[in-house]
Amino acid sequence: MKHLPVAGKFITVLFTAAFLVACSGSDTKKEDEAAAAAAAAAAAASASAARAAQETADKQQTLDDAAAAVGNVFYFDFDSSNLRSDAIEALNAHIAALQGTDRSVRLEGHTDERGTREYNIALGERRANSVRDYMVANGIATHRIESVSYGEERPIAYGSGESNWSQNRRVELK
Amino acid sequence: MKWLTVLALKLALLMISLGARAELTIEITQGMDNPTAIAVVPFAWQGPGSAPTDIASVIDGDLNRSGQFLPVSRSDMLGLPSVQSEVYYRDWRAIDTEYLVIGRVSVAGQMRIEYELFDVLRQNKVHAGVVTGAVSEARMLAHQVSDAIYEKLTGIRGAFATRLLYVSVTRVPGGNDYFRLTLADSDGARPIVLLESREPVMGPTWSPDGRQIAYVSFESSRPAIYRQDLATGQREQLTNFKGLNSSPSWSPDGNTMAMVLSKDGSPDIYLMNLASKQLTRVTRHYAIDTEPAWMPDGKSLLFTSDRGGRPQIYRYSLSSGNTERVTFEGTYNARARVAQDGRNVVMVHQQNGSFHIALLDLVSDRLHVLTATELDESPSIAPNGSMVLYATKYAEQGILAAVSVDGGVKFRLPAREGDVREPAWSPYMGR
Amino acid sequence: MSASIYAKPTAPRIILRPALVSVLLHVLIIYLMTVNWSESEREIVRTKPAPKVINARLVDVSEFRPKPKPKPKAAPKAKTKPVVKAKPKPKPKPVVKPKAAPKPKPVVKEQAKPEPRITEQELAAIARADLARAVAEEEQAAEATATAAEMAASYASLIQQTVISRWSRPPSARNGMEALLAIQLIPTGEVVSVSVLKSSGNTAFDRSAINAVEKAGSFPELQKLPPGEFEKTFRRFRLLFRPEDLRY
Repeated sequence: MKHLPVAGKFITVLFTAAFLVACSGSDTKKEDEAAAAAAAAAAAASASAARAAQETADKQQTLDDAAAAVGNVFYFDFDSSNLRSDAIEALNAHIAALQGTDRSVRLEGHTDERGTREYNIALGERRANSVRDYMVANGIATHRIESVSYGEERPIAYGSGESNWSQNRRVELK
Repeated sequence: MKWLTVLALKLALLMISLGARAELTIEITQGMDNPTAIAVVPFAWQGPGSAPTDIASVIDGDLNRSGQFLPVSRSDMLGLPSVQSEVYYRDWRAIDTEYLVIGRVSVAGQMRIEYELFDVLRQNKVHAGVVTGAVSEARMLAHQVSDAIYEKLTGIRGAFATRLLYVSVTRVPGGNDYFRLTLADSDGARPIVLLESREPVMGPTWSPDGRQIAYVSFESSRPAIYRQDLATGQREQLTNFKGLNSSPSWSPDGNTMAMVLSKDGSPDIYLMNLASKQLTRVTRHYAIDTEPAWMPDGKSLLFTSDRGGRPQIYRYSLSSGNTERVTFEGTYNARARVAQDGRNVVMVHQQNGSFHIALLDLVSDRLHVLTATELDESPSIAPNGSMVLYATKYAEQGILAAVSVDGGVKFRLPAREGDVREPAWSPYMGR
Repeated sequence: MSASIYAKPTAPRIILRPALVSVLLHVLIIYLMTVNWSESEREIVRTKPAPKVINARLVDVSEFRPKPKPKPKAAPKAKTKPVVKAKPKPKPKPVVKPKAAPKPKPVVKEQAKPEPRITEQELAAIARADLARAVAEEEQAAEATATAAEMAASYASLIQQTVISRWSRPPSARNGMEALLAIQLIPTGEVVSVSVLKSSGNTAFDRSAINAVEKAGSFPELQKLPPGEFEKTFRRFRLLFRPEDLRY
């Protein structure tokens, strides 16, 4: 996870505000009491906010872990750019993790070695677009998604045969 | 009336002689196109020490690779003439040689190659010539001699003094492969790396005058089309659009670059005016339209489209704006390249699950599969239309192979380290 | 003094008109005898060659090296060609019957002499006998002619096959290109002269045709021909190279 959740920032601000209020230095006891009360209230609010933020962070962590668990590679059938059900399940996990953040992602589309290179670049893009479209349909803003196709140029497995080819027909989410 | 009798007699003789002499003409309508045996005798080096380059072996290699000629091994040669007076036709007839090439090499600042071509059967000289040039270009000079000999004996202009672009890849499993855009002679000699990158380099192509090249590079972590001047090495980025930037192809008049962009939704063919950089859109279809190839008259483009379901070749006419389908045989036809005769088109054609190089004759509309190899791609035709270079896989390695346009000659190029792919044959390099 | 009874011996006088006519006729006859009548009298052996000879040979696996080496073209060529002409071995039969010496015609001899008188029956008998003999002679001659014709065609076919097997067409060759060569042999079958009568317009094509004949060098089987037949048909003949089997 990259940085503190938004909640954390809020808490910091709160504390600062509370601190400033507390340190504004009031002479009268009344002010002190008011200040103390305000500080107490702020502290209570901060505490619950902190709890809430922690919960959100934990939830996000869970989502991130879930997304990590399904991996960031989605596989495709030969000559197809249709999302398979296993890909959709995995994607759902990623979408869930993304929805709570404003992170951007990069989708990289790939194909196996069969057929011509330029057509495969286009096919790789189609696959990346399939993933992108699904994500957009599920609430991720288009501007957060960059997609690039490598066609057959970046294989995971260099050999021939279906066991190699099936590993290469993929979209990677980064 | 005596003379009348004489006349009658003479006429009778005439009749008889006419009747007796009906000349037989036998028609020969077929042949056996066996390679022609040609002996290239080591050229005499007229200088100190040993010759800088074995000119004869370059010529021998060229003629052999064309498939039209059968080389004569040096160990079989009964003599090593280097001038006409030393040629004894019987020596060559004895080893079934049909043609003989001899020559002399000298250097006086420039390299000078003199050569003669003899017809052993008819016992006469067919051709003689001289080529001169820089010593550093000795191999190219030898290729020019090959071109002259080839043209004399086949009636077709030779394409040996040409060059080749290709992409060479060194695998780094688990990491980023090395991609090298390489320039070499058409026989693979003298490779020079023009661009090295950890990101993919693809689609090298030549300008019609052979002075510039274009290619796609992912060096900016996204694909972009670049053009580069070979002499100066100067480079210009032509595109930086969102999505695909691929398949650059120079128009025959050198003014326009066809390319594939997906910035407007799906991969489509565009034409860029190289002077103004203005774009004209050619295809408007949600399908994949890619791999444009110009017809030699510059009036239409072939391209690959899967608008009909699977990739097939289509033709777009620039004047009418009409598009029509060209290939109807097979479930996958892509990456067309057109020979200078405007008639022969090579492409990648899938048959029984394997990807072969096939030739489509636009006049007869017949498709012939040329190759026996099975994971073929990227065909490139020689400027004289005789041979097709392409990429394929052999022993799990990417290699280049060649096949003649009639399918009769096939060979693989010597493998280099790494994978070699995407050959692009240069145009003629000028006489 | 007086006129002699003999005609005066006059100096030989060349009478102009008939002399001229005679000279002209002589020139005409010489011209007619030397001009090329063969254009119209050509005998063309159109027998389609036997099915394309596939030079099959047992191939050693060690031959399959990655070294670039052109393989014998016959087999792959048969694969890429759309149609292989499968014609049965042609029976040696000429299309155009060769001209023979004028056939002896059945002659019914009329006895011109007045004596001895022959009865009609006898005359009929003689006529019949003559006819029978004449017919027999004609048949024999016809047989001999047929055999000679068959022989000529079979040797022509042999020459055809030999030349085909040695003709390597250059890549610039196209169907329909024509090169006409004049060939001269001697009775041993050896080729003593090859020349181009009509060029195809493509020098590489012409050269390939000449080379096919030069590579053959000789047709020794022709030695079996009776000398008359050799002289008549094979001392000088022509080869017309016109490919039909190229891709285009």
